[in-house]
Amino acid sequence: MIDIAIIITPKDDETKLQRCLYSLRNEQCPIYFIDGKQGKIGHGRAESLNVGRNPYVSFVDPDDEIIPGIYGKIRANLGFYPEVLYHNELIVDSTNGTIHHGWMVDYTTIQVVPERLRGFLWDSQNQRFAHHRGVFKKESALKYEKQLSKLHECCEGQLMQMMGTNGEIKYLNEFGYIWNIHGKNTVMEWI
Amino acid sequence: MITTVSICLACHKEIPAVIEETWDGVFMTQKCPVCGDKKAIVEESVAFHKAFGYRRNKKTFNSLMLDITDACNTNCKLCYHPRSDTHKGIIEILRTAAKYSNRNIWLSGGEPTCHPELFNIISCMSNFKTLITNGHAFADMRYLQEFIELTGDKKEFPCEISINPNPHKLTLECLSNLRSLGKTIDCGMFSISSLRNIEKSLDIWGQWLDVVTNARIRTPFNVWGQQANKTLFMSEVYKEVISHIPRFVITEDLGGNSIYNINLKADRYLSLCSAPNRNAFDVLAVSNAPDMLADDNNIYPIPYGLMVNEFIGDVS
Repeated sequence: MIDIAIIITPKDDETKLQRCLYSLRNEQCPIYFIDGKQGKIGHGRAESLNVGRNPYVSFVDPDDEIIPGIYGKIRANLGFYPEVLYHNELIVDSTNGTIHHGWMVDYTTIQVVPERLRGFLWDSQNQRFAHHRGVFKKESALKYEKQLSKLHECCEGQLMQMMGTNGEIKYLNEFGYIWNIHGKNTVMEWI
Repeated sequence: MITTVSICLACHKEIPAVIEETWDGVFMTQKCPVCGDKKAIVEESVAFHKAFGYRRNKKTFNSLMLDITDACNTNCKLCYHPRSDTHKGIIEILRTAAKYSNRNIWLSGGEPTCHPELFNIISCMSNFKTLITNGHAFADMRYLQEFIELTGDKKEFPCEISINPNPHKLTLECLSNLRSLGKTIDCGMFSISSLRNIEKSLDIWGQWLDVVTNARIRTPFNVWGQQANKTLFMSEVYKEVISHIPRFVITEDLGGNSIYNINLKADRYLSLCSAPNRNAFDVLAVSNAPDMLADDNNIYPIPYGLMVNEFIGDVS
């Protein structure tokens, strides 16, 4: 039902990749390794839409992890085959090891929200969107393939926005993804 | 950047080498004090290399491969091992085996059955696991039965027998002897020198599935491109193998100097042959528990290992 695509570049840490793969070990989904090209993450994401035979694709970064069992829950909740199904993620700030829950307001800013607010709805007007915590219907995503291949920042989030504006989007109130933040480019805002 | 030990293809000496992942691919630089530095591409897909290829995690190795001789009874073109009539002394071998008493010992060579003291070595070794051989000696039924007496009459015969796409008649005799005795072997090694040979090798394996329960596929290509017009990358081999066997179990994957291996389980092979093809390599579950090897003192220069313990296809 779901193919998992991992884009790997020479810069990626192998220990983190091992942890990532370990977290995926029981998910019963084929994993596809995509060769990343320098400065072209969107290109890799677009390439991911063309591998595998399953109707859905999920993007996992080699330095992140999933919460085991999430893909089983997603499979059980796909129902009427929405364009995108997204879920909650834990944001781990590796500089101080703190764990947050939140959403993105632009491609570099995360709004950290209290856990009681985690059941937020898709909010296309305020442009809050999820990171790459979800599954995308390949058939629908392929319409945006060209645009996607030109993107460099948070391409999966932008894809989710594009698909969510025109198609059905489903929210699953489960934590499924652990996003490790270690770059200096990401800003956190507390609300 | 990974440092390793490699073999200089000009002087066949063990020399230091460096493996580097770049945006253009994975490159190895050999630093031979006699022949100079050489650089060549090892693998074009960095993704493949990171996920399946070289790993250095000495803590988890539980087996050790030990060369006991440089002698061999065949003269294969693709072999990288320096050939001579010198054998390692029994004391030296047993001392090494005792030093690594908590690890399983795989005896290799050259051709280990050429070692005149092989039976003594095995009988004195408490942690012997497998003999890596071309099987020619076991074409002789008397020799085979003596070996069984020595190692115990179990269903699993403790040998890894190399089977090439065009197997030697003595290798085939060995396999039929094992079949007549109802034995199975851990691994049959299929040396693949071209993508065309993969299909041929899998066909041969299909004929011996009752004997060869677990196959280790290796590409004996020369990373320096001296033996082939085109370098055969292991990621290509993976894709080709997966196109024939869409769901299979990889139990172990080792990256050597110019040799990579894939293991396939025969018990799944038969039921999976007819499944639809795949178009990319996919894998599930990677653990850090390689069953072989790497030694702190570089007794055998394969310093990396990675075990991929399960390979599951799509589950709809």
